[in-house]
Amino acid sequence: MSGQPILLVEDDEDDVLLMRRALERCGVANPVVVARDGVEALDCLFGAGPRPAVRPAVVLLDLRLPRIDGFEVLRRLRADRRTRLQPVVLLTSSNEERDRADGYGLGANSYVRKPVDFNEFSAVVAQFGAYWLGINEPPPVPDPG
Amino acid sequence: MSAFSTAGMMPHGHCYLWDPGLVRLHVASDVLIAGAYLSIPFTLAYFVRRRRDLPFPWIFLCFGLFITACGATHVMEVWTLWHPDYWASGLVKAFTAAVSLTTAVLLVRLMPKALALPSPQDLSESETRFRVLLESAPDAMVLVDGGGAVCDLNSQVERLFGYARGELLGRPVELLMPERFRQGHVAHRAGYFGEPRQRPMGAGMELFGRRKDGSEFPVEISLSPLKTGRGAFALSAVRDISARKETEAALRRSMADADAAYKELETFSYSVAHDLRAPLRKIDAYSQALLDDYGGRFDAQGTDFLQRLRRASQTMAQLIDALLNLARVARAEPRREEVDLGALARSVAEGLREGDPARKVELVVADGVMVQADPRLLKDVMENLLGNAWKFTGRRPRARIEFGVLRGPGPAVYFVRDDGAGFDPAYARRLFSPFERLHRPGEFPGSGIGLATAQRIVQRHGGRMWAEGAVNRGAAFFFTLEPEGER
Repeated sequence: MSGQPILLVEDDEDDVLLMRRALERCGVANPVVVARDGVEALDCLFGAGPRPAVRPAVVLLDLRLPRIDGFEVLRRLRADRRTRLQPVVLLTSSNEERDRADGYGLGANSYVRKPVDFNEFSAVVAQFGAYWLGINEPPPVPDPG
Repeated sequence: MSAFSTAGMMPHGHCYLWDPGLVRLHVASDVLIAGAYLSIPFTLAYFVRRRRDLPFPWIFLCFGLFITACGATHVMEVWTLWHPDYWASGLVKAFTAAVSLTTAVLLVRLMPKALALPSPQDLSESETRFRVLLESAPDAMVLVDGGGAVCDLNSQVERLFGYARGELLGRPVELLMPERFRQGHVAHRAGYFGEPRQRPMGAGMELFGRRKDGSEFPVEISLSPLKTGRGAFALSAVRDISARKETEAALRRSMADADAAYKELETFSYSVAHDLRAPLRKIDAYSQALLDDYGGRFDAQGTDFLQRLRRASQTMAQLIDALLNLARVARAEPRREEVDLGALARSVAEGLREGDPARKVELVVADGVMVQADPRLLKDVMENLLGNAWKFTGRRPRARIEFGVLRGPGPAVYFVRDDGAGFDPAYARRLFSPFERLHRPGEFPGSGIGLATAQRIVQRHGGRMWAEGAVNRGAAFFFTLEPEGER
């Protein structure tokens, strides 16, 4: 797997831990950069102070965040030329249709409602892992012979 | 004019041989008759002028002319005693004849109409009827003339406004309204008499009455024009609407409360979705982590406990979702479009069969059942009803599930019937309460919210849902999608 990082924007300690476990379980070896709120996420993506900007393979974005919420982070990403095409997956507990519509309306690539069953959750993570991380891999070299 | 010459004729007195007594008798009589006749038109004219409401005033003109002509003939009688102007006298008579004949004919033709005129007794009876009507009206009734003076009223007025009858008769009707409206009302009143028609007063305005003690109360007033020979009147019915206003205000308050409650519920649902699910997710995930990382250190019972922990958290998650769904449909405004209910039933049933292909279930679905309803909400209903039927026939080696429609007077009744476990009819109503279960949890799985949700959806469409069944004899669920008494 490529070494391009995954940016996980999540304020809940447990959810960070569980997401790491789920990624690990599906064999995703990319480094995980964690942002605890919307401001940290934007700092990571655009660089702040001496910190250089991170170009993650995919942003896993929670909606309910302290300071700047997920919708606003997404809106700012899509408004900036540098991050306009950044893959973003909304990861949330909400099943409200309004949230789903707003998320897609703001240009989310995918909207995932976290299932309660951890095994199902892992399966979902494996799915978007294969999709968003897989396509960034160089095509496999055909086996000669 | 030789034809009308009276040359050589003798004055009429000659016929009486100038007998002084006879001449005096004729002269006196004719003069008195003429005087009397000529005075009558003046009296008639005075009467017609004073009684503007008289029917057929023209007949009085005819009589006046006729009697004047008659008077003139008697004047000519006196004149011809000394002057032999018999042609002139004859012409006056001829004119009188014409006027009399005309009057006589017109009088005959007038007779049916004249006979139809109410007699004074009729009038007094109709006056009585009017009073009874006025008194029996539930509203306060005030009769006002074109000048705005109160001409009549019923006792409801006295009761409502606190005035005695005598204190209002002849007084301006503005006495009954608050000072701030009085000036404006005078103009309105003039406008009304300019174009009188029956209508409610002050459409879209808040109207108030004023009692004798100065207190005010909201009223509703309806106006009817009354045109009589004595001029135009307006009959106004005044209704005290304090009670209604209070009810309306209370209703508005409850609506606002309900609105606030809905908003609260929405916020509540939202946080339930987030905040109650999140810990469940963690319980499940850490249980799984224990199984994954420390599985070897648990014995069979420890592993079983962890599995049970996970099942419990997942059941709770399903309950939360079902509750959220119930809250959602409870406030959903159905978007009606044409839905093929039979096709919907079939597709839901197919889904059930796919989930449990080993079951032997005969499905009977009526075709061509088209309804106007919200397709998404109705899918919930069919999933619940067919899902229940599927579930409660689970112990039958062979089961039968039917969807159909009953048409008769009133709205169409749709039904889902099965031959499964059924229920005790005594509990038929309780089936639709959230979390109400008539079977032990171990017997049949389920959240206990499905039927409550289905019923709520049907109610949001204006219909109702009910159930019939017997223990071990199957169950039938019926629903309509429109209010009774429509169609």
